[in-house]
Amino acid sequence: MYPLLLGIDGLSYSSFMKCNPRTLFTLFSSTYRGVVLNKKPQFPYSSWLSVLEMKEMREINNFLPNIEQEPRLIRETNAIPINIPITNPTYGNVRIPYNDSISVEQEINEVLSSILEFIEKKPVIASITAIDRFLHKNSSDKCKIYSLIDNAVRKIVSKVDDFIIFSAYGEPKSEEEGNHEEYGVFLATIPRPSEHDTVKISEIGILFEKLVKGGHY
Amino acid sequence: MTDELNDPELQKILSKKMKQILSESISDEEEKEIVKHLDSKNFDDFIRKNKVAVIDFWAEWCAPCLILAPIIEELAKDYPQVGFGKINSDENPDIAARYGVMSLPTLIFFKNGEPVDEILGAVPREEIEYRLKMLLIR
Repeated sequence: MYPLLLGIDGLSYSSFMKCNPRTLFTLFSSTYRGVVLNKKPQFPYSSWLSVLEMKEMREINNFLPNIEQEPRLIRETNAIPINIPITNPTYGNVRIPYNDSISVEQEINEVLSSILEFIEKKPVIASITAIDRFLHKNSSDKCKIYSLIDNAVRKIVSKVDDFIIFSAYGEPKSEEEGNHEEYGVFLATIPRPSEHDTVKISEIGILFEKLVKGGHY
Repeated sequence: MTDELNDPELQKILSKKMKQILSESISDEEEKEIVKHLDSKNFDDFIRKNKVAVIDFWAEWCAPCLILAPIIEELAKDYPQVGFGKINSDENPDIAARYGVMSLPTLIFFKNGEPVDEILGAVPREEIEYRLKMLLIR
């Protein structure tokens, strides 16, 4: 199996106790963990492009109209992109509109089956956007979404040996698009050079590249 | 200009925006006040002023600290007679060293300015609440 970079946009440690996602809790105690620091305003496109270009891309102020050249991390790891929110609809093998028209279940099922299909052939970079798409307006279904995501993560990690699961920022804090908690989740099968530092958003791409190249995949 | 201001559609948008700004600023203020952000300058004053105080020693890189934080906020809402504070150990190493804080998160319970109990790690609300109740009835 090849390595996986899975972004779960808006996933937050602050809801772990309330929603009790069992698989994520297990990973929390059994993998290398960290805190992603991403100051306001946080947008999916600039955050994900910072990961994919392996440098800060704060100047990007909207979804890209199209992808002329594959982002650097995808080129250098030869990874399959799935549902990456740098364009609208999202970019890669699953493409959904970045709004609430696609249900949480549908997105998770499509992303899950796509990851499981490709991870045997190539590294995969995938995103689940449900928390960010739905919790800006209504947080009442939060733990239900966490439960669906947790189930998907359980199925994924049972198949994948090496992974980085992260969120580029925490949960939405208001209806405003760029308003999220500044701290995101980082759980990985590889250690970081300085674990007593927060994880920079661009560092995630660099770590995934190391994971792919270091593992000689 | 006057005509524009009389436009009902514009009035509606302005009123909605005003409500949004007000509610955001109120909730931000509330959030700040529920658990007081402490540093070396106001720490001693805070534990002296509050008969019972619970201080959360944390750091930005500490994932369990972020798991614990909403529980502390909940307890702060439910026990307004207790002073809840949080202090960044990296930015205030003198205070952390004074109380021998070696791992994060660490919760220290103070009574009359003196440390009387502590909890290490992210634990369920019940554990913290039990210790707090014991302290309040003593």
